[in-house]
Amino acid sequence: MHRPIDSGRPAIVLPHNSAAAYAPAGTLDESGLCQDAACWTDRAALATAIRGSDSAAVPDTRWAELLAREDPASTVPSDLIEVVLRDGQVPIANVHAVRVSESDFDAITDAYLRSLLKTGATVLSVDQVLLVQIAEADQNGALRLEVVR
Amino acid sequence: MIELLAMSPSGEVYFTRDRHGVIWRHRRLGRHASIQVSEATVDWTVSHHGYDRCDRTFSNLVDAEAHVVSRLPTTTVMAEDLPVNVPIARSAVRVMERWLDSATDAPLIVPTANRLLKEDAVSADTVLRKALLALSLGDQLSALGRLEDSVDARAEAKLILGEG
Repeated sequence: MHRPIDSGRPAIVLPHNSAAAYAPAGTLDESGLCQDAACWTDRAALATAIRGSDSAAVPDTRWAELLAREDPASTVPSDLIEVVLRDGQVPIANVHAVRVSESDFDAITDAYLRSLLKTGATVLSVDQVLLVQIAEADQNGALRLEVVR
Repeated sequence: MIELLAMSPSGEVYFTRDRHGVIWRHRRLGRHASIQVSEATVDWTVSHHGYDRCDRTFSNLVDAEAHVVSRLPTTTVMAEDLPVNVPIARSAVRVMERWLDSATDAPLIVPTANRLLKEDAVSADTVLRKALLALSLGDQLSALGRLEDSVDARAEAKLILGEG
């Protein structure tokens, strides 16, 4: 995300994969989640809390890799911090990458393919319209669409 | 009875209360287990994230989800104008592989593959093109198999009835 706070309603950041971290057994750990959540403006503090000890063992030229590494062969656990947006409307131009689960993607595609086969007017849901826009932007190089299992 | 408490504007997430009073968070798309949440969570999503209060009662979860879907914003477009691109086509291959196992969905494979292959970006992708053609061929072979089974069954019936 380049700029998630255009609307003035700041986003919330969390350590990566909050579903696994705060609801591992299917019940949400609200107090733990609220304790770890930080404002977008404090994302650097959150990154330090998550990766501070790792950073001591890595040259500062490679610190960015601790949070946004592209090398899947590395043994250092990494990934982005997770951003929770307060608004549903974020211009695609503000987005650097979109990560979507394969099962979500395929469920939307299934419905979209059935619309493709119709003749004349057809009705698309808002999620179909959004996914097609994101996929178009990925194909055009405007953002990166990551489909994860 | 199931009480539909609130839903996200996109309809991707919604909350229900079951007959035991337990509140569940559901995700409508994909394969996701429902998780238990508190009433405070529901209130928080309404006050801070613009979720819509529903407060409707349904006999089962299927009907509750159908109501969520019915409230989603939609757009009407001409089917011929719908764009197709490589990411969608890659997902389509996975979807159509599942269609192969469905008697009702399998007939959709050939027209869908043909529609996708009309897009230059899709047909220019060798891996995608081969996958779509293989799916089309697979569907036609399984249709041929069904036809052969039908012919064999009819021949067998004639033999049993002494018409052979």
